[in-house]
Amino acid sequence: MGDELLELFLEETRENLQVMEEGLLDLEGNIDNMELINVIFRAMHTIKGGAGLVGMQRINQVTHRLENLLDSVRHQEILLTDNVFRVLFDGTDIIKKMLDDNDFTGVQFSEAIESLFKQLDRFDQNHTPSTENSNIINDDNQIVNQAGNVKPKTDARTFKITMRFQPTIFESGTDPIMLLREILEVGQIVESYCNSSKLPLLEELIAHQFYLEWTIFVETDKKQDEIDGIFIFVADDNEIFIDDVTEEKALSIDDTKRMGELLVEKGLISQDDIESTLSKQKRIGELLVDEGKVFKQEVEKIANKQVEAKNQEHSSTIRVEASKLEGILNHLAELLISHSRVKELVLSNINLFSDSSGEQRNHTINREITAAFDEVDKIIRIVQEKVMNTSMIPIGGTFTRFSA
Amino acid sequence: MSKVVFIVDDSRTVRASVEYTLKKEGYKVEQAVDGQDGIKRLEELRQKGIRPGMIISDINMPNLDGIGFIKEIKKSLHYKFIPVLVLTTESQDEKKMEGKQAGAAGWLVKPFSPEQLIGVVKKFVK
Repeated sequence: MGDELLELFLEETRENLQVMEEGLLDLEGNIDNMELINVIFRAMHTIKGGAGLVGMQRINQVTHRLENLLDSVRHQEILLTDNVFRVLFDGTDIIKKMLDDNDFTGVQFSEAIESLFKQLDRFDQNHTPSTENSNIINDDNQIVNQAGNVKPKTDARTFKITMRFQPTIFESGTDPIMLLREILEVGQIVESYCNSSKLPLLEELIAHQFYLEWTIFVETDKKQDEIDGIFIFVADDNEIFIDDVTEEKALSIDDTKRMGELLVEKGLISQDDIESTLSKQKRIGELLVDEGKVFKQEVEKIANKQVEAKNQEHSSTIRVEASKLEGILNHLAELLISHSRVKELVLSNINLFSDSSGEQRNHTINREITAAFDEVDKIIRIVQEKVMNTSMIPIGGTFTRFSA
Repeated sequence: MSKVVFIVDDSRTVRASVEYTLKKEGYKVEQAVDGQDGIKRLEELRQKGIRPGMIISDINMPNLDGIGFIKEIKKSLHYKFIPVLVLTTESQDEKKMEGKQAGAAGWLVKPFSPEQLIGVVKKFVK
């Protein structure tokens, strides 16, 4: 098949060389014709691509430089003069000869190629030296990258990967499960959590949207770069946080904390969920009555006294026009919206905060900012609730007067 | 999951090279020469009940270019969720973003090695 591929390349390249030659001849009589320039450019581009694929670096290199020249012409950075035409014709000619002579490395034409490059250099304004991110070994035998940071040894590390995707992620053709599979390939998953708090009720669920958030702790001897690489296509539009937690005790469970606290800590439920569920629980009074440890009447008496005491605290009241409360509620709703907008603006411009220490810092800032915004959001909602409560009539106070 | 990869590129060499590399890894490869041909071929495959596991598309093509092709297929529920990878050259960095905005799932920079191709295909089709 290698031979077949070569044949195909040669065939296609010869055709494209012809396109180039004819195109250049036409162009000479028609130098403003942008369409012609594009046709020639595409032909060069195709040859370059093919040459790279079949390993013909010399041809790839020559066409690359010719392409750059023509590109400068396209962008009107240089004029299409006789000199430019001569270089383009010469270049095309050299490649053609290389193919005719089966001299793919161009040894026979090295002089001609050198001369071509010199001429191209005169036109060449774009000199972008490749900045290789090379690593050097310092005196302590540690690997130091260009920024002077010591790279960690490749022992096993533990990384915490948090993945919060856009609900519309499937529309980009990405399947989050594939990412999990890639994580499995780089190491051992030691702990994993799925946060399904955003999963709506069935009647509100949109079948082709994604509502889950995952936190995975993976043990691996691969470097963080490789883990980052898994998310290369999704990192920009989704919230992916990768932290090296080897030193931290993020894995251990603090046994002084209660289940509810731990669940909130691991991001599996919200504090609100805890509160609303606890309020549905049977109180200690009820449980003791069920156990036969105390009479129901006695518990009820105490409960009533509790309510009375509470109501006495609330004896000072004021009369407020309902419309005023409504006004406040409307403003609070607007506040939530503006707040959300600010968050969106900040997060979408997060790259302005980043400096040369790059990705890691970005993720940390992103997370900190998001947490700060979420905190404000929470407070606004609490205020909303409290304002709504002011317009509710406490019934207890009215009825305690009628108890036996 | 369908182990069919669909390559859309106006260069014969690229298409053959992709087919050669992926066939060895057990994938079946379908080809199209430009965006318009790509749409036609996708339809033909659909009639046969074949849905590619992923699509790899060049950007610069006559008739309908890569970006136009992606935008077109994303309009159809049949093809909307198929991951599309765009082929770009280093000098065309902004095409990566354009591709993503049009709905591409990722990109591959030309010239790519067989290992790079296989690596990225495996991200989407197992």
